[in-house]
Amino acid sequence: MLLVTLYIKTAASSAEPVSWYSKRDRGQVKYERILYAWDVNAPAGRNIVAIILGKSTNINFFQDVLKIRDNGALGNLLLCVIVFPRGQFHVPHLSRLCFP
Amino acid sequence: MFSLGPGGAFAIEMPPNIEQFMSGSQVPLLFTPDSIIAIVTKGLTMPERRIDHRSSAQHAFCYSNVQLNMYGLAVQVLNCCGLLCDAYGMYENAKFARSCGCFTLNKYHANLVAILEFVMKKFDGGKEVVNVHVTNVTSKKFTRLLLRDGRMPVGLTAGSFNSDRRVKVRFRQASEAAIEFVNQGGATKAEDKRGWTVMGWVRRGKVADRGVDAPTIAGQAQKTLADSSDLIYHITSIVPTSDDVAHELAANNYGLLFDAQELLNTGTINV
Repeated sequence: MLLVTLYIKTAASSAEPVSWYSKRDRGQVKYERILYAWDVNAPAGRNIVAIILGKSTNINFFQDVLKIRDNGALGNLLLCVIVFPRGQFHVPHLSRLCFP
Repeated sequence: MFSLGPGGAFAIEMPPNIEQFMSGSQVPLLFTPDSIIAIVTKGLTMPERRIDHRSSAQHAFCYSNVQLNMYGLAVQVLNCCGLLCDAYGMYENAKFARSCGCFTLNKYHANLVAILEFVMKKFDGGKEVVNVHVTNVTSKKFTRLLLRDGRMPVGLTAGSFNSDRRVKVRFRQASEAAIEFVNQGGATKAEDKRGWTVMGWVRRGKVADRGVDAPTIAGQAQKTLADSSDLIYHITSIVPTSDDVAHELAANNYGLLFDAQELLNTGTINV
């Protein structure tokens, strides 16, 4: 499922939790922000996905991208981030890096 | 570098079956324990998605090779504190939004954004398929595209741009030149490299159908609603269609970009 971010907005303080139901269960999800994304492979006319984010909602959302939430903040501080297969990451000191 | 803001791409691997729905609206809910997978957009060609005028649902569009003609440019301080929301929608209806969707406070750049007004045109086989006037577009990424080294240095204020008319005019001229450079396909002027990739969303609103119902009494909702004839284009991302042209522009070999660092150092610019 390939998604492209459209925009992100904070939930209104008066926003009610999202209520959901299934055949077996029902519940509510609270959220703080909503990320609207374009589902690239969906047909035109109905192709927007909303992802709700909060303190206890979608906590794994940023797990595999080093928990980088605000794009650019890390890029301003560091020159290089090396990602190892196990998901651990290591930030080398700049003086140890060799560039042509 | 992975970018999650507007225009950034990510994937959800093996999304599970939909079993839950929002109560009341039948909107499907996807519950997945997985994280997102970052996708570098460099070299990625976004498929074109046109606007479906029959749809009343909110939906996204994406047009490539769009020609931009700028009509308005003003630099202002916005209440956007980070880089995630890209200052999207921070200025609407002559009002500045009080807060944005960013998670963190970023103080590595001046909090200035260009508020743009432009007409975007798209031609397909000589036929004009899009001709839209867009106002109040705010984007930190696009603002940085118009600046040398892509930087809005800390220390610059809106007054730095607006108090001296020469600076204001110079920034406008430089921005027009940079936009036209991309419109023309960079130095090579190749047909497939021309223009911008513009992404955004639309949703056709509902208006009261005054031909059916009597005017409403205060506190009483109008019963009959009709599709609005106006469609507002919400632009969320504008980038050069060709990565090569984007690199040419950023390299500033032709001296098109405005030097904000020089403005900060000297308080003015060499015209």
